[in-house]
Amino acid sequence: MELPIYYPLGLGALLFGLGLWGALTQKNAVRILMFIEIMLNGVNLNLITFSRYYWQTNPETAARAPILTLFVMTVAAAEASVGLAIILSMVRNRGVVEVDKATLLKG
Amino acid sequence: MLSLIIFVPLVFALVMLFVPKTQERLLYWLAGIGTLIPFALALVLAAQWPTAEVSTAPYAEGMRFVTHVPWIEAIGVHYTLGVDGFGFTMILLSTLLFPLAVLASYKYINDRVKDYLILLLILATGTNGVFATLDFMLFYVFWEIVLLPMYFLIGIWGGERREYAAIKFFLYTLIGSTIMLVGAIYLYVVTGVGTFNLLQMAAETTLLPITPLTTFAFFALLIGFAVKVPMFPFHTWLPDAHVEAPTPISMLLAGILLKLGSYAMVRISHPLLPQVAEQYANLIFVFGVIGILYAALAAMAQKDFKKQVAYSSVNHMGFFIMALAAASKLAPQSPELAQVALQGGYFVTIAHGLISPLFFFAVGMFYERTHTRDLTKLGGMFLTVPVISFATAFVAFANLGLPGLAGFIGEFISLTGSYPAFGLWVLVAGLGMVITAAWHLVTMRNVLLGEAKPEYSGLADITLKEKIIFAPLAVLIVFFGVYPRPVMEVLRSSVEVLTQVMGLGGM
Amino acid sequence: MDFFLNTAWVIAALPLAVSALIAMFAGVLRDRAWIPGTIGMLITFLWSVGVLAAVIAQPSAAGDVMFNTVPAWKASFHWADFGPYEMHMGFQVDNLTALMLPMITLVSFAVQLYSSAYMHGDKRIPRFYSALNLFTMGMLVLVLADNLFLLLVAWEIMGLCSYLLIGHWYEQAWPRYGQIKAFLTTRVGDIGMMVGIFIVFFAARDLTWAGLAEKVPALVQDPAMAGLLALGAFLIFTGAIGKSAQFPLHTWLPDAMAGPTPGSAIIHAATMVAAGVYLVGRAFMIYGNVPAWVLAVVAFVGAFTSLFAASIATLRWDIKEVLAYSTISQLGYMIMAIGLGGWTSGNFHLLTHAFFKALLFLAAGSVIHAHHHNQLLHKMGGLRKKIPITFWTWMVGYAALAGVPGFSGFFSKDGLLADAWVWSNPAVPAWALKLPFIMALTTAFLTAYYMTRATYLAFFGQPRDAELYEQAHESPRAMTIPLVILAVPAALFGWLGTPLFHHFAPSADWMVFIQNFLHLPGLDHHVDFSTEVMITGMATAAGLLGIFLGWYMYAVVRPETRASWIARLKPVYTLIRNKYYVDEFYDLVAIRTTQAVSRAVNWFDINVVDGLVNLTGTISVYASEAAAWFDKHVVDALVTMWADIARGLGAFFRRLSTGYVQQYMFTFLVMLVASVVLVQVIR
Repeated sequence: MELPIYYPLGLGALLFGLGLWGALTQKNAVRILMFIEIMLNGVNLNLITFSRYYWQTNPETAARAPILTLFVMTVAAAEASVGLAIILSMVRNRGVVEVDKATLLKG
Repeated sequence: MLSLIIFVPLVFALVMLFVPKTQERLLYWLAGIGTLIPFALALVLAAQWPTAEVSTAPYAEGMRFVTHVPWIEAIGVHYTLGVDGFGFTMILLSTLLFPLAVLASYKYINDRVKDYLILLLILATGTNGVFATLDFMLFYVFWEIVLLPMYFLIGIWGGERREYAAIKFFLYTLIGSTIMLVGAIYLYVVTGVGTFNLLQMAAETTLLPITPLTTFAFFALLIGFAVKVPMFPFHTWLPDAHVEAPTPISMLLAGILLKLGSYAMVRISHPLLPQVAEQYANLIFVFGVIGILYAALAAMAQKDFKKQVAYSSVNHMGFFIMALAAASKLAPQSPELAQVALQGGYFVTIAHGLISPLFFFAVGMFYERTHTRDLTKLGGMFLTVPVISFATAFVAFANLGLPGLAGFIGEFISLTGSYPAFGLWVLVAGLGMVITAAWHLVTMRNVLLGEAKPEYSGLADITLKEKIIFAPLAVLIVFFGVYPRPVMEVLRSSVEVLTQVMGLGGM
Repeated sequence: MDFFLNTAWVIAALPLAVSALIAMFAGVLRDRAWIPGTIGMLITFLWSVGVLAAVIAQPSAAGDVMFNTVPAWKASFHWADFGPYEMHMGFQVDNLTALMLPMITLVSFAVQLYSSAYMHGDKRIPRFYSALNLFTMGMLVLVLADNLFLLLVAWEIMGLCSYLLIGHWYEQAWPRYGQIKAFLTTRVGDIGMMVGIFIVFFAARDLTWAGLAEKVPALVQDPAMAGLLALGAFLIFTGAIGKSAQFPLHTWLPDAMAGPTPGSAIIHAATMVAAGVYLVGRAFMIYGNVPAWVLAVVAFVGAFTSLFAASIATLRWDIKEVLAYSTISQLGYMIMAIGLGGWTSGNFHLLTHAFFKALLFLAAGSVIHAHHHNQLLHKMGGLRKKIPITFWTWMVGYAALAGVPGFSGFFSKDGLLADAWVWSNPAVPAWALKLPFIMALTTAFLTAYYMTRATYLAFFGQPRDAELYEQAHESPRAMTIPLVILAVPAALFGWLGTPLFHHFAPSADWMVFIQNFLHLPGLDHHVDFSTEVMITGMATAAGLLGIFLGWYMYAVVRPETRASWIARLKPVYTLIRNKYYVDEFYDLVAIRTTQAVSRAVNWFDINVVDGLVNLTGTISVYASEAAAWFDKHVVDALVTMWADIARGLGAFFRRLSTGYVQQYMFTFLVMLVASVVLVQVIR
């Protein structure tokens, strides 16, 4: 039987909300990075869900979603590595991992 | 082949960019080779000249060694190279003078050698390009390429007032060339021929009626070139530039840079608008003759040796202007006599291209030893440095027009051709010749003759380097003075064609 | 014989080679430079004699000498193109050339041999010999040239050599002055000559003698063309005026005496200065055909110069200067003769004069040499016993110049006076036709007078400077031998021009040659015997009168009496003594004016022409400053206004930028949500 679409969508929304909450509230930069990953995964889940859902009716459009998902995963990996590198250099130079201690962008 | 002649120096200049500037000997070798290769190529072309195919294409009719490649199709600009007698003699002259100038710089220029030599090579590309191109836009590009290295060569390696001289030179010629560009673009627009090829443009522009605008276009071109020649009254940059420029640059300036103007006149202004040239031949003649007399008198009053020689350049180029005016005036009625005038005038420029670099070099030899160019301070050099003095006397006599040397042939033939056009007014030019002779003799008396001055005793006489520079030019001066026919053979067909064009314009 | 004729170019080539050789090996040769010079010139002389013999043997010796349409030998090559006109350059030998060649080479040989002793100990002997040989080459090319252009080239090369030789002792001021003066004065004439050549070229489109002889007679049929050619001929004559030191361009010749005496002997007495005469004679196909006023001008310039210069010579104290003015005067004779149509007598006088004047110069050099380089006549006196060979050879030259019967000058002067007597020229009014004759006769009288004066002062009477006299000594053999060599033709050459010779050898080849040369068919003025006798009588009388007066003035009249006579004639004396102030006039008019004008031009160039340029520069500087002000306060203000606005906005919005990443993220979220809501609402 078909899984109702609300479950996976709801899970995706949950994941996204969790990630958003963490990214906005946490002070530790590594954690923020992890929550961002969670947000991205929530988005990915949404994409896959819609792909599956439209597979029968509109296969051409539906086929694009997994590709986009792959893209998101790749970008996420790259982003994570760059982010970690930045955090590393931040730690090395300033000795902090808390984002509210790093306000160099202040205008 | 022509492309190689033009761009080999540039390639060497690029190579030299990567040579460390402490390697001065290597740099000189590279510069020497980079200027000798074009000379060798030019000699090869000279050997091929009699049998070379003469182009009949409309874009290069009567030219040899033609290259024709589209460049900017949208406005009809082509990379067209090709030479006739006018261009080829100048290419030979220029490719000969550049190696000599490099040699003359050796151990004379000691400061920033790398920059200096690179600029020199770029200059070589520019001048050779001007003499070989048949497309106005390409011509203009090369014309401006010449300008910049010259500015730096005078401005950096010059004498005390080098900045003033360099800026004066730059502004004069830049203004001249801008005016020239305006004139050429006007012609391009008005004919609607859709190409900047000089020969194809000429086919249309010679048919234009004489209106204020065509007159303007002609004078725009003429003034642009007259600044370079230089023609009275646009000459005052020349003495300053010469006095401040280092010796090798003076040689090039007098030997080649001035010829850009005279060449451009026979290639562009007069073939394009012969009808206007004929209309104003008398005016141009007046300026030419005034230049002869005026420069002779001005030279006489100078206290600076180099400035005197610089004024004598104005004087000699006046003969060219005069003969060109005579040719354009005579062409409609008696083309034969016009050919005499034109050939004589162009011979003057060639002879001057051989003699004046040598004269500047002679002045430089004295300057290098005595560190003065003041005529009142020099003296008794025949007893101090006999060989250099002999060489100087030789050049001075060549410059004042002694028969048997190249200068005389040009002056004689150009006057022969000018007489039918302007009658006894050529006596004014003759008066200029007497005055020229007078100051040459007086200068020789002051510098060379008389008792040896004690402060100059023990100066070294001519070195091997100076002999090597001196010999080829001196040999050519004597050879063309005794047997000028080879030059005339090369010039013959070009002269005929140009007189034909000028003759058509006047009808 | 024909071998020499066909290789006549060697005559010009050999001196050139010798000159180059001496110049090249100057360091090796040093004092020995005379050896190659003399040997080379001797060979050249023998070659010239061979050429002369060959020409005599040629049948064409009977041809038209004056217009030289058929030279005995010619060779030319395509040398250059004047536009479409082919120019051929070459040599030709005809009767006139054949006679000139041995004269030039003999004088040159004598001079070079003489100089080996005269120049002994000089610092620059190779330079002297090199220039001398180059000069000889120039003169030989001049007479060999088959066209006007080559003649001009040779003409100028001689000018250069003259310049070099006058300035031989360039450490001193006078030679440096003299050399420039010589070069420039002749150059003035040359410019006129060049324009004349242009006119001839324009009219005939040809410059070869043969071509001109062919074309000019046809061209002058057109009056306009004839007038033009007359102008051309006149202008060419100005070249001759300069080179042959005719009035008004004569002033350079006396100052040319600053050079070594042997050089003066060949250049400024025998050959170069005679080139002007040769030119007019050679170009007679022009002069003889164009309107007659040109020849009248030629005749009067010559006649006037001869009288003018002779009068100056009477009061000169420098022995070389006397000879210099005498040369000017004699050249005037020749020019006059050719102007009168006396082509033969002019050229004949050229030849005789070359021999005896070169002899006189060399003898004068010998006197100077003997007298420790004193040139002043009033320090000499009684020298005949001290230097006998010099004295006797001088006397030969003196007799020839003064016109003593039997010596060469007598005959040639006679012929020239006969031409003057029978002169007719349509361009000259009848009353003036006898003027040249009167002038020439007066000159003959003055010539005899001043030569007697110089001779007496130098060789006779009491020594005026005892010390110099005691030390005087005869010159070495190398100097006396050339004197003797030259004395022979100086004495005898004139006999060729007498009917007597015709009588002795009527049919010999060389007699035919001389006949053709001296008695041109169609040009030989018919002078009947009684007139001939009368002219000869007048000439001889004038000469003897001059000799007597000279002797009387200096040998009989006491110096005090002379002084009182001079005092009575003060104005005339001063005028002549100062050479009619021609030099001063030129100094004022030509030299100072030119210098002033040149200074003015320089001022004009610096202050007006360049001033305009600099003014343009200055104006542009000020204009650019004004533009800069405008730019700064108007144009730039507009720009900075926007910048100020931007800055103000920036200052406001910067507050939003706190540097807290999470704030940014939150803002981002809020904006996203807001925009989604907004989109939904708008939809």
